[in-house]
Amino acid sequence: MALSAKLDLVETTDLSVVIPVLARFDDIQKVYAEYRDTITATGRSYEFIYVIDGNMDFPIDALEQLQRGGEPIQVMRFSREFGEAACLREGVRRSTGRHLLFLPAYFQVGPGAIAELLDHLNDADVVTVRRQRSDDAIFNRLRGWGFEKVARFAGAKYNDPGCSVRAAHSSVFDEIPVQDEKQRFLPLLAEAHGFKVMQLTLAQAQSDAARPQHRLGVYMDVMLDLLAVGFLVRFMQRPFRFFGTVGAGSVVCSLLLMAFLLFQREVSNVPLSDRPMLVLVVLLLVLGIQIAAIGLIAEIIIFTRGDGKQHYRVEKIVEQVAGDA
Amino acid sequence: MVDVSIVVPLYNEEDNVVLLHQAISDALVDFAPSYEVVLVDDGSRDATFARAADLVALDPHVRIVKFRGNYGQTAAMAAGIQDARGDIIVTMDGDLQNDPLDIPQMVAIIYQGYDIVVGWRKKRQDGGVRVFVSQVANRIMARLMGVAVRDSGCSLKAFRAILVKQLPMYGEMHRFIPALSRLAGAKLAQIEVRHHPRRFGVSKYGFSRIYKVMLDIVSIRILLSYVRRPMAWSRFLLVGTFMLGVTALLISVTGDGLALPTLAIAVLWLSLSLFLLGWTVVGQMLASLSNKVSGYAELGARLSVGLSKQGD
Repeated sequence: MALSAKLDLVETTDLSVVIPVLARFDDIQKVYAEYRDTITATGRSYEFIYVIDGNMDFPIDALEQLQRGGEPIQVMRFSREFGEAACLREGVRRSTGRHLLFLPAYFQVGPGAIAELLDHLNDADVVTVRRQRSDDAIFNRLRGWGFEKVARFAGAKYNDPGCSVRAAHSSVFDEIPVQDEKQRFLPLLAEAHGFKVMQLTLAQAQSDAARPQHRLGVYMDVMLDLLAVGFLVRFMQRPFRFFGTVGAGSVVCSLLLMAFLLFQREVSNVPLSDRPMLVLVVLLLVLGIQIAAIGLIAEIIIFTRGDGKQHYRVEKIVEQVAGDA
Repeated sequence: MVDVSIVVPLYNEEDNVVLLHQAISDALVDFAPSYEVVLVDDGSRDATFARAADLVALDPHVRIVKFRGNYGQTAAMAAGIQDARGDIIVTMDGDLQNDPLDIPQMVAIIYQGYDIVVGWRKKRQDGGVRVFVSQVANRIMARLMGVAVRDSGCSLKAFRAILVKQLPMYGEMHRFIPALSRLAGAKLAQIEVRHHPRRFGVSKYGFSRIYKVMLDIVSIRILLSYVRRPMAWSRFLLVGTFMLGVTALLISVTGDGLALPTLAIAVLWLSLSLFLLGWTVVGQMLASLSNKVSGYAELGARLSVGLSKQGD
């Protein structure tokens, strides 16, 4: 008993707020104050971790000023740009809280909505947000719609990978390390690991709408990542189901073309050897076999390297202890 | 130590779990070997876990492995099998379509010296489409794998633990356990088992399975030949494409003038055979990096040592 009472005295931080600062940020003191007020209102103990991605224009003095004012803030700045994933990894590494809250350095959703997000941490391991874009500029809405469709195609129910507002139990990161750009798809990966994921639809913040956007290349990268992660989650166990289907499709196309050529030879007496299209037939056939072979190699890799326990997670084992009954 | 472990994957079977436990207990009341029941809760969203947990308090035979999410039937079976402590493992469905009354007979057959006993639902109590799909799948499997198992979709099976704990279990491999066991050199028996219509809940199968099963069969067939001889899995294709390439090359140079399309075709086939050679070497490298391949190949030898009779 005495021990547990003692442990209670050691104050553990409940919530670590990780804010990666990339190219976009708003008035840092105002944003901080709004976030802090919302979190204080929920009664949780908190710390803020700002990770600045090598951005030398960023007014770091403003944060240091807050720090001197006694606010629980950690600030670190990378010497050059390493990207959002690196910021998040560093933030997660330095966090001490039992829960993590990721926020952008500007408002994507109204700060008041964050309380709602935190409430849902009680019954889910990861809470992700989808922005309600009804007031957004037409291009942003179009892009959001495009992402939703690609996400659906990739097998993801979570359809706003561009929204960096999310909350998670810190235990999630013991199992899913923050690597490369995959952190965007944390909800998808967390679900594949058997964590409970919840998606909230929150109203978009006014200032987030109609904001200057990234370059086109950034969106292309995100789309490709989304497809790659979706593929991994869906076909990790049985890669041949994917490659076999594509390969079989190619072989079928080839056979259809061949049938067409044979038909022409019989009917209009065009000799086969004069047909350049025959090359296409063989090309498709060869391609199909190649793709299937890649799938088989993938199967062999899974079979030989896959550690048997990777694909499921046991939460607990319940049994009668001897002498219990 | 127990003799027999009964592994039952459960997914949203809240109505069935208590009845299932009752049926198992009734069936095994005169059963001589000691037994345990491993219930695997595959992330059910209903009260399955709560009801199963009540059973643990009542019956010391019962143990539950609870998954954090829904990972599918194969994963559930794999987890139950890994957790099982018996020398003999019996798997069955949690939907009461299998009858635990068949268990004693299956276990007796294992004690007679077989390594795996597969149930055969002679009088299946399912919808016509599902029976048809399953029959077609079984035919294809028998043809391609060279193992005639009448009903590999039947979950009611009994195995020696050393066999089934070695088999690869991911994806939807549980379907291929009989074929995989036979190819590992196991002695297989099939017996007719009872089959009941579903009383509660909905079946969790669809029609698109047959296609997936076919793809799985191809990959498993290749995997097995790879396991036996890591260099040989693509031999047939390799030689075949090389011969095609050479033939096309001969045609293109012996014809009057150099026929360009034929030459292009020759190049394609020859390059494919080169690529396949490359893949084969990669496969060989993977085999030399992994002890799983040789471990699986040695399984047959370990099985030849019989199971000690009960009471020995």
